[in-house]
Amino acid sequence: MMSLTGANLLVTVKKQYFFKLKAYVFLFFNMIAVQILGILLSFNGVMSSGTGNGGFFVSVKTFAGNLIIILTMIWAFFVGRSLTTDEYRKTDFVFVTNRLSSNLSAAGFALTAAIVGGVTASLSGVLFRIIVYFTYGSQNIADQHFFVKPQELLMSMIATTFYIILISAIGYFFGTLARKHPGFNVLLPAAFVGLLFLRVGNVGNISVVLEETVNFFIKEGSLMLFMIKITGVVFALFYSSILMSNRLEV
Amino acid sequence: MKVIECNRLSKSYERIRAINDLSLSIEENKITGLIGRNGAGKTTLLKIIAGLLHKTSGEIRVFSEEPFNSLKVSANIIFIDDNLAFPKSFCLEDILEAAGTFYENWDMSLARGLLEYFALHPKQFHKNLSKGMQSTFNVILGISSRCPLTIFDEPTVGMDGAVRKDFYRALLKDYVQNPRTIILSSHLLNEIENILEDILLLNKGEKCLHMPITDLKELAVGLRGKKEIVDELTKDMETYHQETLGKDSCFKVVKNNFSQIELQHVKKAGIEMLPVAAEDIYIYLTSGDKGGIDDVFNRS
Repeated sequence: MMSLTGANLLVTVKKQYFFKLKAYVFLFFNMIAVQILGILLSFNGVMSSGTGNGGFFVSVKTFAGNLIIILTMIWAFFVGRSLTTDEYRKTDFVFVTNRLSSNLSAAGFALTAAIVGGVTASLSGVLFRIIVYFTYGSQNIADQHFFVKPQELLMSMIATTFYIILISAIGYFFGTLARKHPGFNVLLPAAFVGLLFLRVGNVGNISVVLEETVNFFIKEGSLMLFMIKITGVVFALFYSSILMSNRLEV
Repeated sequence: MKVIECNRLSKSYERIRAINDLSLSIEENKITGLIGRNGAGKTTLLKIIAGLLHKTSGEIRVFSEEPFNSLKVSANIIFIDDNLAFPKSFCLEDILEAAGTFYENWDMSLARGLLEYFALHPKQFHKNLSKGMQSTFNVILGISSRCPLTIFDEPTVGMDGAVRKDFYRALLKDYVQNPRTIILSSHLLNEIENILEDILLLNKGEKCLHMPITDLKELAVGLRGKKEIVDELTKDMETYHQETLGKDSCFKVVKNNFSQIELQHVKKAGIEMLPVAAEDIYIYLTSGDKGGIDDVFNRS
């Protein structure tokens, strides 16, 4: 008789992880495109003002690299979300898998993507500064924050990466939720838009809860605590996604 | 050893019962044909075996394990149908290589050989293939993975006649060299009966029969002649099918358990005895009590 093959969870997850890296490498090309778009849009500046007095005219233009990071976050959400769609998940079931290994390898891929996204988004900020430096000339730059120290760069890189990991975990969680109950496909975007309005109006308790939630992360002074908080939440998001999808049919 | 064992297995979708109280076992290293009409529950049964779907009640064991979420079952099964999802970015060769990393018994040279024989270019993309060529690629994947349990669910959809014949031949050859358990589902029995050892006939989610294909061919016999004589001879017998021919003749298919004496009676009475093809028995067994498609048109 043909001997049966044993299967080990970790070995299978590892194989699936590398399979996903190879199969979904195009997502990284999408990211590069998104970041280039971010750099181009950032050139417009976030603020522009000018004053004139007699023979002088001073024009101040403020630039910020936030847009690159925000766009990378949107990309990370999309990556997390698409890993849970039928198209991506069904592929696992052609080969050797169970629901746990499929989820773990997808989570591994989402983390990898988020780390690559976080590091490159931070470096894009540096690239953007370099371009500004050469297009406007060093004598016209009037901000002491323009030149970043290596430690600062590292800190911001870590913080950015953790934010992006969080966003991709949220994307994965929402995707799983939507797969379990398709109604969420409509409900979640609606809730998101609704919350935006709430924030503008700033009425009711929900907006307070939302503020507090956001503050829980962004107002954290210690980088270490911030990392622990995010890791805990990310773990909870992936864990509940695994629990939710473990009984789902293909 | 039994590869698959089901005990009172049932599966319902919303209000429809796809599999109803099914008990069966499949021995290892046999080619079993899973035959049934559309909606008989073939795909549902196979997907439960492959661990893709839940059972609703009853018991199912594949390699002595519950298949749903079992890595061991997944590592030893390949399930081929016309609905396989491959990464968009992978060409055929990439897919074969990926299969090689997952399946221990994978035979890459066989896969390449078959790819070349069926004129599939390794750099093509699966989604750009025609329906028949997609099916051809899928069966190449199924054969080359050499899984101890290989399941083909309607594998020949869209293939032309020549490719179908080649596929059955390739499957048989590889099976002889590397015996394993193979389940082949189809609603066309005459096409696959030559390569089958066992046949499992499903009807409306229930097991209709499960026996060696050679037994099925001898299960029934057709009698043709004067209606009253035929009716007299077969009055206590299980009848599978009957039709009237002309004014007072008829054709009746009954279970083949005539004794020698009865056989002589039949001959003397001038009744013709005809063998019944396996395909015809299958159709008679699954046609239900309705009088056939003609009745729909004769209603008014």
